[in-house]
Amino acid sequence: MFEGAIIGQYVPGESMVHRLDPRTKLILTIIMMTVVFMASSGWGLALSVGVIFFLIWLTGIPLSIYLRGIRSFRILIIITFGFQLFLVPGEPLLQWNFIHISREGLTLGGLMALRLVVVLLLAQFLTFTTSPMALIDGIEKLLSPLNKVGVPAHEMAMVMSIALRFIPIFFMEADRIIRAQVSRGADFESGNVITRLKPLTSIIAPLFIKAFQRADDLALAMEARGYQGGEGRTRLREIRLRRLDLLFLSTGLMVALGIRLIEVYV
Amino acid sequence: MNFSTREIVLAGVFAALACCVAIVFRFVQPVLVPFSLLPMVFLLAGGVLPPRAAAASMLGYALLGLAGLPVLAAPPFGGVIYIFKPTFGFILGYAAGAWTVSMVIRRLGRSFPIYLAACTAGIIVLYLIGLPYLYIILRFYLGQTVDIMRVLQIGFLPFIGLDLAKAFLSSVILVKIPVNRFLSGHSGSHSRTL
Repeated sequence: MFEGAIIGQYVPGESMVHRLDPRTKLILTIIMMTVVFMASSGWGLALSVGVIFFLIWLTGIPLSIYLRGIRSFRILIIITFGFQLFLVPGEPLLQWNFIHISREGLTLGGLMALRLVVVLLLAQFLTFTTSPMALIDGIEKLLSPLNKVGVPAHEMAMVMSIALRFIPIFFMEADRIIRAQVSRGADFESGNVITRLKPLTSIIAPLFIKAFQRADDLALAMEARGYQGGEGRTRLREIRLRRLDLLFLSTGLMVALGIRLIEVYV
Repeated sequence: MNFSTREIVLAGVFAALACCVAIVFRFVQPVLVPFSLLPMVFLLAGGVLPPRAAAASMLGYALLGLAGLPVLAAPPFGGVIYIFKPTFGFILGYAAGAWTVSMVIRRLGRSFPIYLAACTAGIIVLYLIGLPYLYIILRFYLGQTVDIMRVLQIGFLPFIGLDLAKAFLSSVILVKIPVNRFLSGHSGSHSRTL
């Protein structure tokens, strides 16, 4: 039931953006998010929205898929908007009993809500076009200069990859254990909060044991294949920055600076 | 710098556990009652793993979220932007807390009272990181006028009781886990049947 929550993110494709180095996309997303968050005026925000829609167009993924992703955040967006709308004091636009809407609240609420939508779109731009494994590879490469100061980049990436693999396993095992316990007469449905907690141990304990066993198997399998950490390890898909990546990065940086300058001077 | 293969794998397992707990609680959690089992995950990670691996597991969880995968508990569930969320400090606190728990256990040994002390120390470290972060983001990023008292009111007082209960519960669970067997790699059969 929950597995799709993670894995359903990636939309395979052949677009220019799909083929970019994951590092490029990571950096590009960070740059654009910073721009969006620093944008204090409608101008800056409008420009960055334009840039982001251009990026989205480049991914070749229909806008409807992006919007479907945003839809699950609609309550959050409404709350963000409403919070500013009703609570920010200022020049009254509408006043009725205790309801008080100010011009400042309307502007601020709109700005915050728009910002949130844009940030969500950007996050999707990254996760739709980059498979989780590519994302982790990108992070490993970005962190690897920090190896010298003691940040274990490879180990961190390995922890993340294994975590990704284990998320569906956990759900699968939990499902199996729940069925097994129910078939033996366990009752998870009735009673109050406290009495419901008790059968929970009959799920958690076997879940832990199974997880540890699997971890054992995996560690054994890795060592049997000669895994000894990141040093001298080769990979199936080597990621490297190509000309297209440099083009995207430099353009992204210039656009970001441009938007900033326009914000400051116009 | 040297992690054993088993430590890396177990750190991955705990990071996955954190993701699962966060994902499940998104569905069952009523909007207005902020309750999370994540603190228990970091306490258990600290109780089972050596210090560096424990910290790595929770940092791995944080990085998965920051990279944009929707594994974090609160909206927007993932993305670099999480750094600006007032509660992100608590996610960093999980890593520091897990490290602390593990360190206390390494120094003092393994028994129920020590687990209890270690988990309490972990919770304290969680707040030592989380609350200043909360204050800094509220004050300097969101520009709200908050004083220390207010920060304690929104980030500390409503949660500390439950978190101490979670520390107790984690200690109870930790006593039952044969940790040494897991770390040395003799956790029983390799059968695939349940």
